[in-house]
Amino acid sequence: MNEYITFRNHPGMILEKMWKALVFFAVILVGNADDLLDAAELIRKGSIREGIMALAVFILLLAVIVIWNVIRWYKTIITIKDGTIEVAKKTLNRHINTLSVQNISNINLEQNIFHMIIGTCKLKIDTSSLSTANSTDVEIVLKKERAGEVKNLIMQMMSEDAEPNRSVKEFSEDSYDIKYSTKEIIISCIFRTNILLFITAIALLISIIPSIYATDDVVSMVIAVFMQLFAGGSLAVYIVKSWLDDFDFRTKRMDDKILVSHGLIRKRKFTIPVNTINAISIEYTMLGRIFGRASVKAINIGGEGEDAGGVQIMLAKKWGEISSDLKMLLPEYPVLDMDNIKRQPARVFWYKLLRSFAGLLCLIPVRYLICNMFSDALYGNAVLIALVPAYILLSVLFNILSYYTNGLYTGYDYLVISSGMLARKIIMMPYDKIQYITEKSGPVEAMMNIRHAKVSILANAANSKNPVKSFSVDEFYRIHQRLKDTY
Amino acid sequence: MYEKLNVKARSLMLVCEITACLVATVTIFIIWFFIRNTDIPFSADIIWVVDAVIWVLGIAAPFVRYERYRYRFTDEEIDVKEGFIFVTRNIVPIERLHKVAMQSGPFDRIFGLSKVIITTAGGDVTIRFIEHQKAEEIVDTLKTRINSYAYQTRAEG
Repeated sequence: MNEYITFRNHPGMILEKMWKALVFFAVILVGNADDLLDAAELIRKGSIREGIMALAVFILLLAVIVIWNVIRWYKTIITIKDGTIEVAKKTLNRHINTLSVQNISNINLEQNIFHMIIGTCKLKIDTSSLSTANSTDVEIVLKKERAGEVKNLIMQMMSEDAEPNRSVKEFSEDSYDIKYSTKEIIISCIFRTNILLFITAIALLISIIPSIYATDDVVSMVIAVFMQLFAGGSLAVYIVKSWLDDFDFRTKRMDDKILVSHGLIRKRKFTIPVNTINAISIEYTMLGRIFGRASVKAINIGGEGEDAGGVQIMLAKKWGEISSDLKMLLPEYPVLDMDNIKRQPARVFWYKLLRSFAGLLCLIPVRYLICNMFSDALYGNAVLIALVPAYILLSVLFNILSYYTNGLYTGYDYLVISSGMLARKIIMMPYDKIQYITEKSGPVEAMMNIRHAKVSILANAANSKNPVKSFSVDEFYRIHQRLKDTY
Repeated sequence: MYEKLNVKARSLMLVCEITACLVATVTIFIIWFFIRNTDIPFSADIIWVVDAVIWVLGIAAPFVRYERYRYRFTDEEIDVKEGFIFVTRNIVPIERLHKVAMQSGPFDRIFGLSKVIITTAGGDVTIRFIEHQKAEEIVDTLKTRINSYAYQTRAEG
């Protein structure tokens, strides 16, 4: 493979990069509206030269923004050759970024509304490096068809890098293995939504109505409504955006890669090389747990924003369906038998409950301070009487929920860690992807022959250190032995 | 077989702890100075009990930590146990190492000790209080192993 291509980003990228600067420019214009009106008045009265002189600062500022962005676009050249992608920015600070295709963790084609209007696509390439991810990640904007061609070329180079003389298979848009119907997507949206976040958003939006009648002061009313609308609206937008992102969700296993396509307003197409997947995360929301529906994410390094916690490869489905889909998408991962996940030893439950009750001691200074503040022991005692049962009830509830959620399975090839309280997250990682283990035990844990740990893998901050809750020392000995078998 | 730290490590730990305790005492004095005449529901002098506890723990910690600190380098892994109240054990497969570094601060240099920082794709693990010469030997050995693993991996394709 000696194909050699050099190209620039699509000119549409100038507008895309410039919009923030243009918004800044618009703010300056609005802030200086008086000067603008004066200049317009001068031009209207026939003093065109004076008018333009008055506008010179604004024109100059706009020119600088446009020229700088045009130069930056023109001077950025992308070259793909010999298994490398080179992005050369020859602006004031010359910078050449060379990336080997073997270090690519994801290739992602993304199309937002702006891209759809001008017919372009953004090709995002994430690198499998923890320390240099941000400096080596590449973003290329091209015509939609051209972006697809470049993506295919890079995928072909990746395949050749793994197995020389092998070409990438032809791939048609209709050949996805797993497609979700609209009904399945809607059901998944319901089960993937954080129900507490949803209730908060609805409550904030509904509480606008009483706020309108709560005060006669118009200014206070407007401020209160605006704040509630902003808070509730942001949450609602976040939830709706995540729903729209799941639209038209399709996945496919092709050779040593997983292809994922989804999105309505922002269309995204991922290519994830299987060897860059360091773990999978099976996630149940609170509602999903009640109705037995989980979604799956592939954990690797490189994703940003909403992908930092892993790339979604399956929407919320029943466990049986997830298992059969997983066999097709990731046959490297064995089908997980949920019954194999062991709960923490019973002594851990009692230890944690006792530890929570020790927290009751914190209420003593609270009572003391309240008594002092009101110079009356009655208030302090009333607070104590109200808080103690609530604290005990919540401690027992949270400990029971944690006990039924936390778990561990030390399989022969895979370590499975389950954690959570209302929601549940099950991480499944091959031992050979574990980078190191940190075990910890306090004095009481040591006496009870238990310890807890963190298992480190190559992933973004959200998934890099995976906590194993308190388990018997024997379990950690087993993990250590399994880890040893890999080297 | 686990190795124990050189006795100089205990002295360094003690110096570090005493320095930390002195900083804590100065901070506590400043707090006490400002609150002693204010109207608070308890005596300001109680803060010196906190200081006493800090000193007792500070003096005891190096002796306990020194006795607990163990490290082991095998052909396959690095195993470090340490801690005062909470005992931590780090197990790092040598095959996963990406980088090895040696570092020594001013106190380390006074006692002829160094830190060895081993970096994997998932983060760093630091082995503290190692004699300088021993640290250099460890770094050299690990470098050789990292290189041999890299050659082996490349050869296996």
